[in-house]
Amino acid sequence: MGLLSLLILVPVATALVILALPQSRPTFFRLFSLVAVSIQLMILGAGWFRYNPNQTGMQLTEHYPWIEVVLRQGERVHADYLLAVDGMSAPLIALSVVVMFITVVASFKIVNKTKSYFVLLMLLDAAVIGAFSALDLLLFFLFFEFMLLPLYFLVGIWGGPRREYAAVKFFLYTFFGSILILIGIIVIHISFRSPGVADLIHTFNILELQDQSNIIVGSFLDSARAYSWGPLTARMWVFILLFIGFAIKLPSVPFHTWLPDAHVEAPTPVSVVLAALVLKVGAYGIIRFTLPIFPGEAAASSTVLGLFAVISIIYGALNAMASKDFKRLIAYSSVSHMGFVLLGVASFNETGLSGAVFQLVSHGILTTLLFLLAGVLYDRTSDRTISNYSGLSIKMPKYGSIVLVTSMASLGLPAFSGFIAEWLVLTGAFDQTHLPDYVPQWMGFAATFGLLLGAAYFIWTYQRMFLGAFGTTLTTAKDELTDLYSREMVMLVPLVVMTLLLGIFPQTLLQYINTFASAWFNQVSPYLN
Amino acid sequence: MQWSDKVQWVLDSLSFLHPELVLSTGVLLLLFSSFIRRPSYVIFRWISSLTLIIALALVIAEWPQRPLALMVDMLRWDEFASSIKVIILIGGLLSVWMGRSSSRPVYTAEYFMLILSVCLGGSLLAMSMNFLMMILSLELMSISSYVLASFRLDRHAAESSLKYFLFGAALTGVAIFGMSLLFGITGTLVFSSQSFTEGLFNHPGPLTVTAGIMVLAALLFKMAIVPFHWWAPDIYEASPTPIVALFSVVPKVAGMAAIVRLSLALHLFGQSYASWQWILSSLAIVTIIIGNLAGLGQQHVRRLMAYSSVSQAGFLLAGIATFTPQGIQQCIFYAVTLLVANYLVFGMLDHYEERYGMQLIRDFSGQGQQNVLAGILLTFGLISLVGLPPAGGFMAKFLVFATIFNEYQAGGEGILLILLLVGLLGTVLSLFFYMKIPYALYFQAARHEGAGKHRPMTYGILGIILASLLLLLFAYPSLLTLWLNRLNFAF
Repeated sequence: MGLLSLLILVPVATALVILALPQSRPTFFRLFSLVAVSIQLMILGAGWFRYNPNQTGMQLTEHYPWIEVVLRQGERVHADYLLAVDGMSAPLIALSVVVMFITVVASFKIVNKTKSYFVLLMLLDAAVIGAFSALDLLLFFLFFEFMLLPLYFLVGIWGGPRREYAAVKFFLYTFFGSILILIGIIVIHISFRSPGVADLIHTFNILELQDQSNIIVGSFLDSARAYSWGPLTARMWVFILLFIGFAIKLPSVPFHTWLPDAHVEAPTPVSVVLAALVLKVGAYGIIRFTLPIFPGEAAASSTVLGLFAVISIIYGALNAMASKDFKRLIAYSSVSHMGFVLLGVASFNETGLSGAVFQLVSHGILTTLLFLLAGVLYDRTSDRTISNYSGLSIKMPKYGSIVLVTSMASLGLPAFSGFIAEWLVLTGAFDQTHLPDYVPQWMGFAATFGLLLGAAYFIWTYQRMFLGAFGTTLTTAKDELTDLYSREMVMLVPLVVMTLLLGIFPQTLLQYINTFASAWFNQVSPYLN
Repeated sequence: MQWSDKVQWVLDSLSFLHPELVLSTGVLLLLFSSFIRRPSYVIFRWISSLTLIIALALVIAEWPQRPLALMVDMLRWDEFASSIKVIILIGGLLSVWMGRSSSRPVYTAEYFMLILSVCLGGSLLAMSMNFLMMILSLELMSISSYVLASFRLDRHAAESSLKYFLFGAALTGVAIFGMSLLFGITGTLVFSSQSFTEGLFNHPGPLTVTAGIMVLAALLFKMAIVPFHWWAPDIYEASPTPIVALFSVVPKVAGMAAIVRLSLALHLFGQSYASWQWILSSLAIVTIIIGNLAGLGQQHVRRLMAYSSVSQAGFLLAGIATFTPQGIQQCIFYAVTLLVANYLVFGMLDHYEERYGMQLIRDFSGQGQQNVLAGILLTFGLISLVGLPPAGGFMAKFLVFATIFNEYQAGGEGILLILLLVGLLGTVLSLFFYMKIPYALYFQAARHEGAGKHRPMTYGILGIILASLLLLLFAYPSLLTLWLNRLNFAF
């Protein structure tokens, strides 16, 4: 069994073990989950040595036949259990493993119904890693769908006061998105065939789907046939379906309204997983196969994609600025930051794409930090209203300084990972060397303005909450505002170190991403007009 | 043909009908066993389950190598019928074993006898190739169901069962009228025959279509396809849960089999006067929409499941509407997952009802924490009915959708695309109402504090077996699909 299967199997096995344990031993559930994520960290270490960052293409491949359905004589449906990683998925899997470790540590705070909580968390862990490593479209979709149910229960049972509303909203939004993706997958699947075999085998293999020459002649996706439904071609429709499906998960304005509710109502560790990992799956789906399967359509609509991105950046930032709740502010800042990912993708060049992938990792780290920090405050006072606090850094100096560092990193200060990512994205957006220009110049400027807004709300919030004379309008909370405990430091400090490390030595990550980005671009560029 | 030849044909046919003979023997045994001195439901249960197991073993052991016409062109003995019979007999067996408690008054010999005769009628219906045989087996199944539906023995049950009976009897009359018209047009009652096809082909016109719809109506009624679904919610609410589970699978699947045979004959390989693909697709579309929308407002779990079964029947019909062998294969796959998921859900509902008297969705509030295993199993069954991974229902829906799209691409009617979209949107809608039960189980505060800790052994074991089957159907659909691929679907 390969490393990737092990990564997926360990949390599943742990979930089963926890399920078999008696209800009355909450310590065991924590311990077993911690052991599971530690084993995952070790597997990650082993994978790091086995993986060659300079080699193009997929590595650590595991390939077994899975489903085989004969449609008629000589025509078959085929799906595989196919796992592999490349320069995009490897960093994302590494991020998942690290974030999951921290999530489990943060989950020690959960006191009621611990058994079901850790079972669901472990299943979610497996689904996220599965989604990032699956290279079979059906397998990917299964993992993608399977993230839904654990999250629905995690938000709905352990969440805040409006948890039921938030959970149902999240579930319906994302399930609707999955249905759109499912339609797309069916059309894609029927229109592609495996190369090099006499039989007509409908394939789900993403690597084969990325090759336009595998489209069955005369099928819906055959661009020569130019099949159209209404004003658009069939190819364009399917591209739109897939894009909206993933844009809901990403989320891009106007499909984002589930996010603030779900992120705010979820318990801290679940908010972390949602923001740091689940959103990334949306972006991953766009980069991994929506664009490579429909390069021409994506390039033709790149201005629209850029528009979605810019609106997300600015609208997210404005909403963040207006938020009264610290956690809601972070949730909206995620919308803004994920807009940069979409902008990097829409600009269709290597720099922009590298920036987008870098932003995925960087935002994963930063948002984990931010949600944990919001959780620190909530754990102490059960209140996150920004205006209820002032001068917190006097009473909580360590907390104040980590919030300061994280805010600076999030607003894109040089020497932090966010700067590298946003700089690459903006360079890509302004890049005029590749013609035609996929996103117009003003979008680059608008995104830069979004950065400015980001700086404004982070600094303003810091000023309101942490500077000035210490005070809180909460009568009971004064004594509860203690500084960080060592358990919290253990979670926070490594993340701060990671964002600094990626900011100062971006090459550690970029060597993976660059290999991926150039391969991706080589594959896509022949089809760009 | 000489009389002696016909007699010889009938006598030869008997050796291919062992499962049906065993079922008939079981029916007779149960009838006489109510005369024994101290009747006990244990004896009846064992007689009926042994009968079903032997019949099932015989179906599998005597698997058809090649299709045969039996009983002077009354029945057709082929792999399609046998696979349908397997589903029917397993359904019957599970119904017999549901509801173990002796506290209910309903477990008389007649109860088990009627379950067996529903299975017998279903098996014969799946094999029918003659209108006479079709109506006989349909009535055997229906009349037994009318009686079974009233086994809760209260006013409500009597009312709904009477409604069911009147509706069903009227539609049987309509079907017989349609058959007489088709007999007049084609000169034969054997609808799988060459002369029937030729007769239809030589007399195109609205009359053939009307007559065909009349006959189909009685079968669609059994499947609870809109607009013949009105009986379902009342019957589901008023009947005992094992019987509801039986109704949600056995008559549906048997009706499906008969529809497959009849509509393929009427379809004339696409040469028919009106497009049967269009007719069946539009029925499926309406069924999926109505079933899912009407399910949204339900408060009673079994009424909710009634609308669920309506919309699931729509998906079965959608598979038939492709008129391709693989569409029919996917239908059987769908029927298998439906069988497993429905029995899982009804088994758990029965457990909750029998032990705590829960019938309304709000009664389930907070029970997920009280009884962890039953809650998880119930949720898993519902997940499969929605069509979410990791349950077999996902694969079943996926395969049906892929077949529909493939047929559309290969030049099918444009309505297939609408059918596909409606099916997918219906799946989203169904999420709303299926998730009401897990929502109550896990998200709402408990109302029944007294429910307490109880470990239901039979339900637990049965539920775990069914849930593992659903997982298996999800993880290795090839186990079933490869077997279905080998089936001979020459009708």
